[in-house]
Amino acid sequence: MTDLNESIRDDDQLKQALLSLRQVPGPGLHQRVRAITQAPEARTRLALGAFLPLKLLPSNVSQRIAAPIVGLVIALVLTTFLVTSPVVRATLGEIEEAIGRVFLIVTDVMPDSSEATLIDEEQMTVEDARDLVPFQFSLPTYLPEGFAGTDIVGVSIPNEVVAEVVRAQWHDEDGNLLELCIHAHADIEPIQTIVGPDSLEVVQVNGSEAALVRGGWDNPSGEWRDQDETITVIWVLGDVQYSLLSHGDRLSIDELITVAETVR
Amino acid sequence: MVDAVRSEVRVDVLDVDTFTDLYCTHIDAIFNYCLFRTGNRVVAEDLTSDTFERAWRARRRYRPERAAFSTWLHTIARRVTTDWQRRQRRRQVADLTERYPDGAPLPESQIEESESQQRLRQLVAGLNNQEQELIALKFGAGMTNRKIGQLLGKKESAVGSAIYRAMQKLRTVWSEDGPG
Repeated sequence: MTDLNESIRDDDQLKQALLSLRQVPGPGLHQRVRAITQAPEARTRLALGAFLPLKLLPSNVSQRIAAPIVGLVIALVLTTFLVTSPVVRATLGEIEEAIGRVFLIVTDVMPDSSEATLIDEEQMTVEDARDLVPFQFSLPTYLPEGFAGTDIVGVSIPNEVVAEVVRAQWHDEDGNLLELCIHAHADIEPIQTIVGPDSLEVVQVNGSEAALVRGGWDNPSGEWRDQDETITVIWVLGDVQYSLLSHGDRLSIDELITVAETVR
Repeated sequence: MVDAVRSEVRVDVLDVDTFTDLYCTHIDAIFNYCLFRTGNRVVAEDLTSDTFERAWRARRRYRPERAAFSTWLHTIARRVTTDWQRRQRRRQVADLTERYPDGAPLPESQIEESESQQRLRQLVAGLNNQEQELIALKFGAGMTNRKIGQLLGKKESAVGSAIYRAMQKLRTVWSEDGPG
Protein backbone atom coordinates (compact mmCIF):
# COMPACT_ATOMS: atom_id res chain seq x y z
CA MET A 1 0.00 0.00 0.00
CA THR A 2 1.37 3.39 -0.95
CA ASP A 3 0.43 6.67 0.63
CA LEU A 4 0.54 9.34 -2.04
CA ASN A 5 -0.67 12.18 0.13
CA GLU A 6 1.08 15.37 -0.89
CA SER A 7 3.69 13.33 -2.70
CA ILE A 8 2.79 14.26 -6.27
CA ARG A 9 4.85 17.34 -6.77
CA ASP A 10 6.34 16.72 -10.18
CA ASP A 11 5.97 14.49 -13.21
CA ASP A 12 8.31 11.81 -11.90
CA GLN A 13 6.27 11.48 -8.75
CA LEU A 14 3.09 11.32 -10.76
CA LYS A 15 4.59 8.58 -12.93
CA GLN A 16 5.52 6.61 -9.85
CA ALA A 17 2.08 7.16 -8.41
CA LEU A 18 0.43 5.92 -11.61
CA LEU A 19 2.68 2.87 -11.73
CA SER A 20 1.73 2.13 -8.13
CA LEU A 21 -1.84 1.57 -9.35
CA ARG A 22 -0.79 -1.55 -11.23
CA GLN A 23 -1.93 -4.76 -9.64
CA VAL A 24 -1.09 -8.40 -10.00
CA PRO A 25 -3.73 -10.58 -11.66
CA GLY A 26 -5.18 -13.12 -9.29
CA PRO A 27 -4.67 -16.87 -9.62
CA GLY A 28 -8.29 -17.24 -10.66
CA LEU A 29 -7.66 -15.19 -13.79
CA HIS A 30 -4.66 -17.33 -14.70
CA GLN A 31 -6.79 -20.42 -14.37
CA ARG A 32 -9.51 -18.96 -16.54
CA VAL A 33 -7.10 -17.99 -19.29
CA ARG A 34 -5.34 -21.36 -19.18
CA ALA A 35 -8.70 -23.07 -19.54
CA ILE A 36 -9.46 -21.20 -22.76
CA THR A 37 -7.34 -23.46 -24.91
CA GLN A 38 -8.92 -26.54 -23.40
CA ALA A 39 -12.54 -25.57 -24.04
CA PRO A 40 -14.43 -26.76 -27.12
CA GLU A 41 -14.27 -24.16 -29.79
CA ALA A 42 -17.30 -22.14 -30.69
CA ARG A 43 -17.85 -20.08 -33.79
CA THR A 44 -20.48 -17.44 -34.16
CA ARG A 45 -22.21 -17.89 -37.44
CA LEU A 46 -25.17 -16.58 -39.30
CA ALA A 47 -27.21 -18.86 -41.49
CA LEU A 48 -28.71 -16.95 -44.33
CA GLY A 49 -32.05 -17.51 -45.85
CA ALA A 50 -34.54 -20.31 -45.27
CA PHE A 51 -38.00 -19.97 -46.41
CA LEU A 52 -41.40 -21.10 -46.76
CA PRO A 53 -42.60 -17.61 -46.59
CA LEU A 54 -44.40 -15.55 -45.65
CA LYS A 55 -45.77 -15.74 -42.18
CA LEU A 56 -44.25 -12.95 -40.23
CA LEU A 57 -42.84 -13.53 -36.85
CA PRO A 58 -45.03 -12.80 -33.89
CA SER A 59 -43.66 -10.13 -31.64
CA ASN A 60 -42.09 -10.77 -28.27
CA VAL A 61 -41.34 -14.35 -29.02
CA SER A 62 -38.65 -16.40 -27.52
CA GLN A 63 -37.25 -18.00 -30.60
CA ARG A 64 -35.76 -21.40 -30.99
CA ILE A 65 -33.13 -20.26 -33.35
CA ALA A 66 -32.30 -22.54 -36.20
CA ALA A 67 -34.80 -25.07 -35.04
CA PRO A 68 -36.87 -26.51 -37.82
CA ILE A 69 -38.81 -23.52 -38.90
CA VAL A 70 -41.58 -24.74 -41.09
CA GLY A 71 -43.72 -21.75 -41.68
CA LEU A 72 -41.36 -19.36 -40.06
CA VAL A 73 -39.61 -16.96 -42.26
CA ILE A 74 -36.52 -15.70 -43.78
CA ALA A 75 -36.48 -13.13 -41.08
CA LEU A 76 -36.05 -15.70 -38.39
CA VAL A 77 -33.15 -17.40 -39.99
CA LEU A 78 -31.48 -14.16 -40.77
CA THR A 79 -31.01 -13.80 -37.08
CA THR A 80 -29.90 -17.35 -36.74
CA PHE A 81 -26.66 -17.88 -34.94
CA LEU A 82 -25.27 -21.33 -34.66
CA VAL A 83 -22.59 -22.64 -32.45
CA THR A 84 -21.07 -25.75 -33.82
CA SER A 85 -18.34 -27.99 -32.58
CA PRO A 86 -15.18 -28.60 -34.59
CA VAL A 87 -16.50 -32.07 -35.35
CA VAL A 88 -19.64 -30.66 -36.90
CA ARG A 89 -17.66 -28.07 -38.77
CA ALA A 90 -15.45 -30.72 -40.24
CA THR A 91 -18.42 -32.49 -41.73
CA LEU A 92 -19.71 -29.43 -43.50
CA GLY A 93 -17.14 -29.39 -46.25
CA GLU A 94 -17.13 -25.64 -46.07
CA ILE A 95 -15.03 -22.96 -47.68
CA GLU A 96 -14.33 -19.63 -46.01
CA GLU A 97 -14.68 -16.54 -48.21
CA ALA A 98 -14.09 -12.87 -47.59
CA ILE A 99 -15.67 -10.17 -49.74
CA GLY A 100 -14.61 -6.74 -48.63
CA ARG A 101 -14.96 -6.99 -44.87
CA VAL A 102 -17.75 -9.55 -45.06
CA PHE A 103 -16.80 -13.07 -44.00
CA LEU A 104 -18.76 -16.01 -45.31
CA ILE A 105 -18.74 -19.76 -45.26
CA VAL A 106 -19.83 -21.48 -48.46
CA THR A 107 -21.18 -24.97 -47.97
CA ASP A 108 -23.66 -27.27 -49.63
CA VAL A 109 -24.83 -28.64 -46.32
CA MET A 110 -27.24 -26.65 -44.20
CA PRO A 111 -25.85 -26.06 -40.72
CA ASP A 112 -26.98 -28.57 -38.15
CA SER A 113 -29.80 -26.96 -36.22
CA SER A 114 -29.58 -29.46 -33.39
CA GLU A 115 -26.83 -27.42 -31.81
CA ALA A 116 -28.68 -24.17 -32.10
CA THR A 117 -28.61 -21.68 -29.32
CA LEU A 118 -31.54 -19.75 -27.96
CA ILE A 119 -32.03 -16.11 -28.64
CA ASP A 120 -34.74 -14.00 -27.13
CA GLU A 121 -35.88 -11.11 -29.23
CA GLU A 122 -37.70 -8.04 -28.04
CA GLN A 123 -39.70 -5.62 -30.13
CA MET A 124 -38.99 -1.99 -29.43
CA THR A 125 -38.83 1.41 -31.05
CA VAL A 126 -35.82 2.36 -33.12
CA GLU A 127 -35.00 4.98 -30.52
CA ASP A 128 -35.00 2.42 -27.71
CA ALA A 129 -32.92 0.06 -29.80
CA ARG A 130 -30.34 2.77 -30.35
CA ASP A 131 -30.13 3.28 -26.60
CA LEU A 132 -29.79 -0.43 -25.96
CA VAL A 133 -27.31 -1.81 -28.44
CA PRO A 134 -23.58 -1.11 -28.07
CA PHE A 135 -23.14 0.13 -31.63
CA GLN A 136 -24.50 2.98 -33.67
CA PHE A 137 -26.64 2.00 -36.60
CA SER A 138 -28.55 3.64 -39.41
CA LEU A 139 -31.64 2.67 -41.35
CA PRO A 140 -32.26 3.31 -45.04
CA THR A 141 -33.56 6.75 -45.85
CA TYR A 142 -35.16 5.43 -49.02
CA LEU A 143 -37.59 2.57 -49.45
CA PRO A 144 -39.02 1.42 -52.78
CA GLU A 145 -42.56 2.55 -53.44
CA GLY A 146 -45.13 0.36 -51.75
CA PHE A 147 -42.92 -0.81 -48.94
CA ALA A 148 -44.00 0.26 -45.50
CA GLY A 149 -42.90 -0.49 -42.02
CA THR A 150 -43.26 0.74 -38.52
CA ASP A 151 -40.97 2.34 -36.03
CA ILE A 152 -40.61 -1.03 -34.35
CA VAL A 153 -37.55 -3.22 -34.71
CA GLY A 154 -36.59 -6.54 -33.19
CA VAL A 155 -33.51 -6.69 -31.01
CA SER A 156 -31.99 -9.99 -30.00
CA ILE A 157 -31.08 -10.08 -26.37
CA PRO A 158 -27.42 -10.98 -26.06
CA ASN A 159 -26.17 -13.98 -24.18
CA GLU A 160 -22.74 -15.47 -23.72
CA VAL A 161 -22.69 -16.57 -27.34
CA VAL A 162 -24.59 -14.04 -29.35
CA ALA A 163 -24.37 -10.28 -29.36
CA GLU A 164 -27.14 -7.86 -30.20
CA VAL A 165 -28.80 -8.03 -33.60
CA VAL A 166 -31.24 -5.37 -34.74
CA ARG A 167 -33.82 -6.45 -37.31
CA ALA A 168 -36.07 -4.13 -39.24
CA GLN A 169 -38.72 -5.26 -41.72
CA TRP A 170 -40.80 -3.65 -44.39
CA HIS A 171 -43.27 -5.30 -46.72
CA ASP A 172 -45.68 -4.41 -49.44
CA GLU A 173 -49.26 -5.42 -50.08
CA ASP A 174 -48.19 -8.34 -52.25
CA GLY A 175 -46.22 -9.94 -49.47
CA ASN A 176 -42.79 -8.98 -50.74
CA LEU A 177 -40.37 -8.57 -47.91
CA LEU A 178 -37.44 -6.29 -47.31
CA GLU A 179 -35.45 -6.93 -44.18
CA LEU A 180 -32.36 -5.36 -42.69
CA CYS A 181 -30.30 -7.12 -40.03
CA ILE A 182 -27.64 -5.16 -38.21
CA HIS A 183 -24.96 -6.25 -35.81
CA ALA A 184 -21.56 -5.18 -34.60
CA HIS A 185 -18.62 -6.17 -36.75
CA ALA A 186 -15.03 -6.80 -35.76
CA ASP A 187 -12.43 -7.64 -38.38
CA ILE A 188 -10.51 -9.67 -35.84
CA GLU A 189 -13.53 -11.73 -34.93
CA PRO A 190 -16.16 -11.41 -37.61
CA ILE A 191 -19.45 -13.20 -37.60
CA GLN A 192 -19.45 -15.63 -40.48
CA THR A 193 -22.48 -15.86 -42.70
CA ILE A 194 -23.24 -19.36 -43.95
CA VAL A 195 -24.41 -19.50 -47.55
CA GLY A 196 -25.01 -22.14 -50.18
CA PRO A 197 -22.90 -23.00 -53.22
CA ASP A 198 -22.71 -20.78 -56.29
CA SER A 199 -24.57 -18.02 -54.53
CA LEU A 200 -21.97 -15.27 -54.16
CA GLU A 201 -21.18 -12.20 -56.22
CA VAL A 202 -19.15 -9.12 -55.48
CA VAL A 203 -20.98 -5.82 -55.74
CA GLN A 204 -20.28 -2.28 -54.63
CA VAL A 205 -22.14 -0.37 -51.94
CA ASN A 206 -21.07 3.25 -51.83
CA GLY A 207 -17.78 2.35 -53.45
CA SER A 208 -16.90 -0.49 -51.09
CA GLU A 209 -16.99 -4.18 -51.82
CA ALA A 210 -20.07 -6.00 -50.60
CA ALA A 211 -21.35 -9.54 -50.89
CA LEU A 212 -24.43 -10.26 -52.95
CA VAL A 213 -26.03 -13.58 -52.02
CA ARG A 214 -28.68 -15.29 -54.09
CA GLY A 215 -30.95 -17.73 -52.27
CA GLY A 216 -31.36 -19.06 -48.77
CA TRP A 217 -31.59 -22.25 -46.75
CA ASP A 218 -34.78 -24.21 -46.97
CA ASN A 219 -35.14 -25.64 -43.55
CA PRO A 220 -37.13 -28.79 -44.06
CA SER A 221 -35.00 -30.01 -46.94
CA GLY A 222 -31.72 -28.48 -45.86
CA GLU A 223 -31.16 -27.30 -49.42
CA TRP A 224 -30.05 -23.96 -50.72
CA ARG A 225 -32.99 -22.63 -52.75
CA ASP A 226 -34.91 -19.77 -54.25
CA GLN A 227 -31.98 -18.11 -55.89
CA ASP A 228 -34.29 -16.15 -58.14
CA GLU A 229 -36.56 -14.88 -55.39
CA THR A 230 -34.23 -14.02 -52.57
CA ILE A 231 -31.28 -11.72 -52.79
CA THR A 232 -29.26 -10.30 -49.94
CA VAL A 233 -26.58 -7.69 -49.98
CA ILE A 234 -24.16 -7.73 -47.05
CA TRP A 235 -21.72 -4.98 -46.30
CA VAL A 236 -19.76 -3.47 -43.43
CA LEU A 237 -19.91 0.19 -42.57
CA GLY A 238 -17.47 1.18 -39.84
CA ASP A 239 -17.88 -1.30 -37.03
CA VAL A 240 -21.32 -2.46 -38.11
CA GLN A 241 -22.39 -5.15 -40.56
CA TYR A 242 -25.64 -4.78 -42.48
CA SER A 243 -27.54 -7.52 -44.32
CA LEU A 244 -30.36 -6.27 -46.52
CA LEU A 245 -32.58 -9.03 -47.84
CA SER A 246 -35.28 -8.89 -50.45
CA HIS A 247 -37.69 -11.76 -50.87
CA GLY A 248 -40.26 -11.78 -53.63
CA ASP A 249 -40.32 -10.58 -57.18
CA ARG A 250 -40.41 -6.85 -56.63
CA LEU A 251 -36.85 -5.64 -56.38
CA SER A 252 -33.94 -5.91 -58.77
CA ILE A 253 -30.38 -6.11 -57.53
CA ASP A 254 -29.83 -2.49 -58.52
CA GLU A 255 -32.86 -1.40 -56.52
CA LEU A 256 -31.69 -3.35 -53.51
CA ILE A 257 -28.27 -1.75 -53.71
CA THR A 258 -29.92 1.65 -54.06
CA VAL A 259 -31.69 1.05 -50.76
CA ALA A 260 -28.47 -0.20 -49.18
CA GLU A 261 -26.60 2.90 -50.25
CA THR A 262 -29.01 5.11 -48.31
CA VAL A 263 -27.90 3.48 -45.06
CA ARG A 264 -25.29 5.96 -43.94
CA MET B 1 7.25 -2.19 -17.58
CA VAL B 2 6.52 -5.05 -19.92
CA ASP B 3 9.47 -6.93 -21.29
CA ALA B 4 9.79 -5.07 -24.57
CA VAL B 5 11.82 -7.75 -26.29
CA ARG B 6 9.51 -10.61 -25.51
CA SER B 7 6.45 -8.60 -26.41
CA GLU B 8 7.85 -8.12 -29.90
CA VAL B 9 8.16 -11.83 -30.55
CA ARG B 10 6.74 -12.76 -33.93
CA VAL B 11 4.45 -15.72 -33.95
CA ASP B 12 3.76 -17.84 -36.98
CA VAL B 13 1.54 -20.50 -35.49
CA LEU B 14 -0.62 -19.93 -32.45
CA ASP B 15 -0.78 -23.42 -31.07
CA VAL B 16 -1.57 -24.20 -27.45
CA ASP B 17 2.03 -24.07 -26.25
CA THR B 18 2.77 -20.82 -28.02
CA PHE B 19 -0.45 -19.28 -26.81
CA THR B 20 0.34 -20.32 -23.23
CA ASP B 21 3.78 -18.71 -23.46
CA LEU B 22 2.29 -15.55 -24.87
CA TYR B 23 -0.44 -15.31 -22.29
CA CYS B 24 2.16 -15.56 -19.53
CA THR B 25 4.05 -12.69 -21.14
CA HIS B 26 1.08 -10.42 -21.72
CA ILE B 27 -1.47 -11.12 -19.03
CA ASP B 28 -0.09 -8.47 -16.68
CA ALA B 29 -0.18 -5.79 -19.34
CA ILE B 30 -3.65 -6.63 -20.58
CA PHE B 31 -5.06 -6.93 -17.08
CA ASN B 32 -3.64 -3.60 -15.96
CA TYR B 33 -4.74 -1.89 -19.14
CA CYS B 34 -8.28 -3.09 -18.43
CA LEU B 35 -7.93 -2.11 -14.77
CA PHE B 36 -6.92 1.43 -15.68
CA ARG B 37 -9.80 1.68 -18.15
CA THR B 38 -12.47 0.31 -15.85
CA GLY B 39 -11.21 1.07 -12.34
CA ASN B 40 -12.65 -2.25 -11.24
CA ARG B 41 -10.53 -5.31 -10.61
CA VAL B 42 -13.38 -7.77 -11.08
CA VAL B 43 -14.39 -6.24 -14.40
CA ALA B 44 -10.75 -6.02 -15.47
CA GLU B 45 -10.32 -9.74 -14.86
CA ASP B 46 -13.44 -10.48 -16.90
CA LEU B 47 -12.29 -8.30 -19.77
CA THR B 48 -8.80 -9.79 -19.68
CA SER B 49 -10.21 -13.28 -19.86
CA ASP B 50 -12.51 -12.18 -22.67
CA THR B 51 -9.57 -10.67 -24.55
CA PHE B 52 -7.55 -13.87 -24.44
CA GLU B 53 -10.57 -15.96 -25.30
CA ARG B 54 -11.25 -13.85 -28.38
CA ALA B 55 -7.60 -13.97 -29.35
CA TRP B 56 -7.60 -17.75 -29.08
CA ARG B 57 -10.76 -18.06 -31.17
CA ALA B 58 -9.42 -15.65 -33.78
CA ARG B 59 -5.89 -17.07 -33.81
CA ARG B 60 -6.17 -18.37 -37.36
CA ARG B 61 -6.77 -14.83 -38.55
CA TYR B 62 -3.72 -13.43 -36.79
CA ARG B 63 -1.25 -12.20 -39.40
CA PRO B 64 2.25 -11.84 -37.93
CA GLU B 65 3.40 -9.91 -40.97
CA ARG B 66 0.92 -7.17 -40.13
CA ALA B 67 1.56 -6.65 -36.44
CA ALA B 68 3.36 -8.00 -33.42
CA PHE B 69 1.30 -10.28 -31.23
CA SER B 70 1.23 -7.67 -28.47
CA THR B 71 -0.22 -5.08 -30.84
CA TRP B 72 -2.85 -7.51 -32.03
CA LEU B 73 -3.72 -8.49 -28.48
CA HIS B 74 -4.03 -4.88 -27.38
CA THR B 75 -6.27 -4.19 -30.36
CA ILE B 76 -8.60 -6.88 -29.08
CA ALA B 77 -8.35 -5.60 -25.50
CA ARG B 78 -9.23 -2.09 -26.62
CA ARG B 79 -12.26 -3.35 -28.48
CA VAL B 80 -13.40 -5.49 -25.57
CA THR B 81 -13.00 -2.59 -23.17
CA THR B 82 -14.69 -0.12 -25.46
CA ASP B 83 -17.64 -2.46 -25.88
CA TRP B 84 -17.89 -2.76 -22.09
CA GLN B 85 -17.77 1.01 -21.67
CA ARG B 86 -20.47 1.51 -24.26
CA ARG B 87 -22.67 -0.92 -22.45
CA GLN B 88 -22.01 0.84 -19.18
CA ARG B 89 -22.89 4.18 -20.67
CA ARG B 90 -26.07 2.77 -22.10
CA ARG B 91 -27.03 1.45 -18.74
CA GLN B 92 -26.13 4.74 -17.09
CA VAL B 93 -23.96 3.20 -14.45
CA ALA B 94 -20.76 4.92 -15.40
CA ASP B 95 -20.74 6.91 -12.18
CA LEU B 96 -17.67 5.96 -10.23
CA THR B 97 -19.71 5.63 -7.09
CA GLU B 98 -21.68 2.84 -8.69
CA ARG B 99 -18.86 0.77 -10.04
CA TYR B 100 -19.53 -2.04 -7.67
CA PRO B 101 -23.03 -3.20 -8.51
CA ASP B 102 -25.48 -4.63 -6.06
CA GLY B 103 -23.40 -3.75 -3.07
CA ALA B 104 -20.79 -6.31 -4.01
CA PRO B 105 -17.80 -6.08 -1.73
CA LEU B 106 -14.68 -4.47 -3.05
CA PRO B 107 -12.03 -6.92 -4.12
CA GLU B 108 -9.54 -7.31 -1.32
CA SER B 109 -6.64 -5.93 -3.27
CA GLN B 110 -8.54 -2.75 -4.01
CA ILE B 111 -9.52 -2.24 -0.43
CA GLU B 112 -5.84 -2.30 0.35
CA GLU B 113 -5.24 0.68 -1.87
CA SER B 114 -4.68 3.89 0.03
CA GLU B 115 -7.24 6.64 -0.21
CA SER B 116 -4.81 8.59 -2.33
CA GLN B 117 -4.41 5.73 -4.76
CA GLN B 118 -8.14 5.35 -5.00
CA ARG B 119 -8.44 9.06 -5.60
CA LEU B 120 -5.79 8.97 -8.31
CA ARG B 121 -7.56 6.04 -9.96
CA GLN B 122 -10.77 8.06 -9.92
CA LEU B 123 -9.01 11.04 -11.45
CA VAL B 124 -7.72 8.79 -14.24
CA ALA B 125 -11.24 7.51 -14.77
CA GLY B 126 -12.39 11.13 -15.00
CA LEU B 127 -10.12 11.89 -17.93
CA ASN B 128 -11.66 11.96 -21.36
CA ASN B 129 -11.61 8.73 -23.32
CA GLN B 130 -8.50 9.50 -25.33
CA GLU B 131 -6.50 10.64 -22.32
CA GLN B 132 -7.60 7.66 -20.27
CA GLU B 133 -6.64 5.36 -23.11
CA LEU B 134 -3.15 6.81 -23.30
CA ILE B 135 -2.59 6.65 -19.55
CA ALA B 136 -3.86 3.07 -19.48
CA LEU B 137 -1.56 2.00 -22.31
CA LYS B 138 1.44 3.84 -20.90
CA PHE B 139 1.18 3.08 -17.20
CA GLY B 140 -1.26 0.18 -17.12
CA ALA B 141 0.04 -1.86 -20.04
CA GLY B 142 3.54 -0.44 -19.73
CA MET B 143 3.90 0.30 -23.41
CA THR B 144 6.43 2.64 -24.93
CA ASN B 145 5.27 5.74 -26.77
CA ARG B 146 6.42 4.12 -29.99
CA LYS B 147 4.31 1.02 -29.43
CA ILE B 148 1.33 3.13 -28.46
CA GLY B 149 1.81 5.10 -31.66
CA GLN B 150 1.84 1.90 -33.70
CA LEU B 151 -1.29 0.70 -31.98
CA LEU B 152 -3.21 3.95 -32.37
CA GLY B 153 -1.81 4.92 -35.75
CA LYS B 154 -0.18 8.07 -34.40
CA LYS B 155 3.33 9.47 -34.39
CA GLU B 156 5.46 8.67 -31.38
CA SER B 157 6.00 12.38 -30.74
CA ALA B 158 2.26 13.05 -30.83
CA VAL B 159 1.71 10.25 -28.33
CA GLY B 160 4.36 11.70 -26.03
CA SER B 161 2.80 15.15 -26.18
CA ALA B 162 -0.69 13.83 -25.53
CA ILE B 163 0.49 11.79 -22.54
CA TYR B 164 2.30 14.83 -21.19
CA ARG B 165 -0.88 16.91 -21.48
CA ALA B 166 -2.92 14.21 -19.79
CA MET B 167 -0.42 14.10 -16.94
CA GLN B 168 -0.50 17.85 -16.55
CA LYS B 169 -4.25 17.63 -16.35
CA LEU B 170 -3.99 14.98 -13.65
CA ARG B 171 -1.53 17.05 -11.66
CA THR B 172 -3.73 20.12 -11.95
CA VAL B 173 -6.83 18.32 -10.77
CA TRP B 174 -4.87 16.63 -8.02
CA SER B 175 -3.62 20.00 -6.77
CA GLU B 176 -6.96 21.75 -7.12
CA ASP B 177 -8.86 19.16 -5.15
CA GLY B 178 -6.02 18.74 -2.72
CA PRO B 179 -5.33 15.52 -0.91
CA GLY B 180 -6.76 15.05 2.50
